[in-house]
Amino acid sequence: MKTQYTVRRAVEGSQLRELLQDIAPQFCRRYLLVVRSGLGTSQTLHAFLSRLAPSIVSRKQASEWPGTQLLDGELADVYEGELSHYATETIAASVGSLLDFQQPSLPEDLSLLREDGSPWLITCAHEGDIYLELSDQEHQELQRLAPWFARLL
Amino acid sequence: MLRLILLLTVIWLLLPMLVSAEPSVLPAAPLRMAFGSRCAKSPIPCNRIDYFTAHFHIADVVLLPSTDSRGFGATVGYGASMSLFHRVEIGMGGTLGIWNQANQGVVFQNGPALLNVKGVLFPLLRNPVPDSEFTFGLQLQQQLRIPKFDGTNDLGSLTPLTALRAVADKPFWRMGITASLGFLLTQGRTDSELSTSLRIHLPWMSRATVQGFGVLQGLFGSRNTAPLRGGFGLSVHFAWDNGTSLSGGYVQGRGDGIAPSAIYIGGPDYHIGRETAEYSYSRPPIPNREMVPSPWPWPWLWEKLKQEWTEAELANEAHRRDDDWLTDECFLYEDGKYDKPLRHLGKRDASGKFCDVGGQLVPMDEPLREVGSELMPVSAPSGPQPNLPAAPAIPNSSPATTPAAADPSSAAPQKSKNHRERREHKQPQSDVSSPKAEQFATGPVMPTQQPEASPSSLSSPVRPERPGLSESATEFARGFAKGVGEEGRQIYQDTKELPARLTKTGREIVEDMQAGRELRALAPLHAMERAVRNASREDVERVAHGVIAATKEWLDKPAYEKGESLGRATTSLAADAAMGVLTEVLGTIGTLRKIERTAEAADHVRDAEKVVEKAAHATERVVGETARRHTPDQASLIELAKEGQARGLSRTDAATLKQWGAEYGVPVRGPEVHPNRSHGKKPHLHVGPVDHIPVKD
Repeated sequence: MKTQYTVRRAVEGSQLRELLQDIAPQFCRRYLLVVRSGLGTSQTLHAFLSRLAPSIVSRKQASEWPGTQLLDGELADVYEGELSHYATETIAASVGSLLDFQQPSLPEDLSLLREDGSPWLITCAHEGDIYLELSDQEHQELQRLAPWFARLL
Repeated sequence: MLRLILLLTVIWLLLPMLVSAEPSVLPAAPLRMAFGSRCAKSPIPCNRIDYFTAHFHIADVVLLPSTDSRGFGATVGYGASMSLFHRVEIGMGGTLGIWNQANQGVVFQNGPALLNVKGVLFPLLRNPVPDSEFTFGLQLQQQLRIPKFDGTNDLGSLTPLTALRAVADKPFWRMGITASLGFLLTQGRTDSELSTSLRIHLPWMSRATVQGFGVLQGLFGSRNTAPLRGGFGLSVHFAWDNGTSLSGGYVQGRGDGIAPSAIYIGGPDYHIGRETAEYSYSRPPIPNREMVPSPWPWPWLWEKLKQEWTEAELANEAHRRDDDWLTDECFLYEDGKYDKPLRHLGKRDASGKFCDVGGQLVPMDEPLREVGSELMPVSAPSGPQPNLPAAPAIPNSSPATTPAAADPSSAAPQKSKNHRERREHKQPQSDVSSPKAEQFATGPVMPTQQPEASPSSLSSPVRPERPGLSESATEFARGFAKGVGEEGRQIYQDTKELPARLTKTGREIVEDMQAGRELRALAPLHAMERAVRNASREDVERVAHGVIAATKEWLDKPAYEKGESLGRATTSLAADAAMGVLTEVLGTIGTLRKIERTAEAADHVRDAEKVVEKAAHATERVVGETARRHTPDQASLIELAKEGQARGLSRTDAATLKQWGAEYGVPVRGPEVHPNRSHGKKPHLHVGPVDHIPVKD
């Protein structure tokens, strides 16, 4: 049984780096990024994806990803990658905030997935919404590992 | 792995040839290392068994300092075993003894062949998890004397021997205690053995174990056949995630027939298979999982192989799925720094040898230099410099003579992407000047402008002749750029002082500032842009009307001077408003109100002109932003979206808006839902700045 915990304040800068490089890998093994049609792309988006390419393991078209369901048959490109140290460093170096994940500048809606594929952190950037789905045990673990971050929930 | 097996086989076959024909007896032999691949290479047996592994050890060396009965010596243990389900481990092996014997020189002895089996009996009905719960097990070792393996057994006699041990183990915290009771049975002699150990897993290195132990033999039986002897010692064992392990220890022996001191050097060992059901010894490293680097080259080789394999797999997958972006896009890199591209250039052409940069073919993988906006091969002749883009560029035609001219969609088709980019780059300047010309240049003041009579105009680069409309716009743009530049530098200085101004806003923002986000002040600028974009038309008009009357004097200035002051005002006002958003959280309309109040305060401020200019610029900026951000089509679409926000849209209308958004360049998200969230859990649409437009079924 998992509970949703909304991140009540933007995580930026050094905190974002710590979240991506130190905290998340304790729980997660994969990440998701979405490129939606009709929102346009940019050089920065392509450059960002090219930098992440070594960590990307799949790209598929889907109408649903953590936090969002598209209606009326619309599909988006969903990229899944290994949450390696390289990937987290690339992501952390490319954005100032998780809410920066909006097209056309960047892919949309970074999500971090556990080893079993279930989402741990969900971002819906255009809604300004970031939240975590945690079990009680994970919540306690998060409080132990990163009390500053747990206080934002 | 094949080589390792072959090596073991060779050792198995050749070692007996080194042994002398007449078996010798190693005087003062050490306590034998206990059987078990995870037993920390001490004489103490253990119940720890892997889930499913094969294990090889080829050099368990025990160094034996010289005693009265022999010189310096050593034993080398070797063998292999297999573990099954944390339950059973079976194996075979042997020990080669080498020592210096007086009058005999170097003597070899190959000990008996060792057949081992051990099993955990408790818990019985489920697989025990190593080092986590109490276990009880039995171990049986058969020391067989066969040709070439005919050395002495553990009791020092040249006979077969059977050793049976019962072992109990109880882990607690980061420690564990083991106790063992054993019997050694051979022809005409029976001995007993009692041993115990206390181990601790180092907190900062969970794969390392330190163990203190003691062994006592000869508890039962006659003094002649089972003399009392034993030893105590300390061992350290390191195991790596990849399955190798090393250990070292020291045993101090006491009693008849036992080495008084022995130095144990265990390993290297190799494990292949699964340490537990979840973790494989051959698994790739898991990010951020606690891991001790291995001293052996295998993990490095494995990592290199894995990396090559992954990249090849990605490339193949990309090729299979026609992922153009992986292979067909080209980016500009600084020579020698290929980890991060400078910018995206375009797509590779059909030959793959050139990159199509807005129609210009740039050779791939060749040194380039930038000449203006063009990329030229280094080897290419320099020739005349291409036309550099003027800064600011001079428009070819009268700007903004009609509203449609501000509409990029109505512009003539561009020849190349570069041209488009240049035009887009110039657009803010011309956009600012365009509505200005439309609103102010057509006012009654403009015709009375006399640049010659103005002292300031003499010192400015404005031509003495009365400027035409296009020239005026050009000069205005130049002045605007100068003003923006100068004011920008001032803003940068102000930004450095911003942390002090933010102290009232709370600790969190200050923390972010101190964390090095020196340009944080720019984020609210973006927020203000959104505020202006989201402002209603009435808001804009009201602010504009309040300001226009006060700008009459300002409008009398020459274009350059006007542009310069407006440029300063633009930048400073933007920063002021940005700081307002940041420090006072005024919100969207609140920011405009602040601007309006600034205009009203003009009469009470000594430097009224500057304040009025600011306010005037505010109007310009608002109108300019609106004109720049939204073409008439886009504005109409956004108006429709706002209407839809109030009453909702049908699926058909939503699809229509989405289609128009694609046509007019307005980003449209949805229809979509965000399940289980308080916002957006019902179908909705986002059209440009208009959010959460309900979509009805």
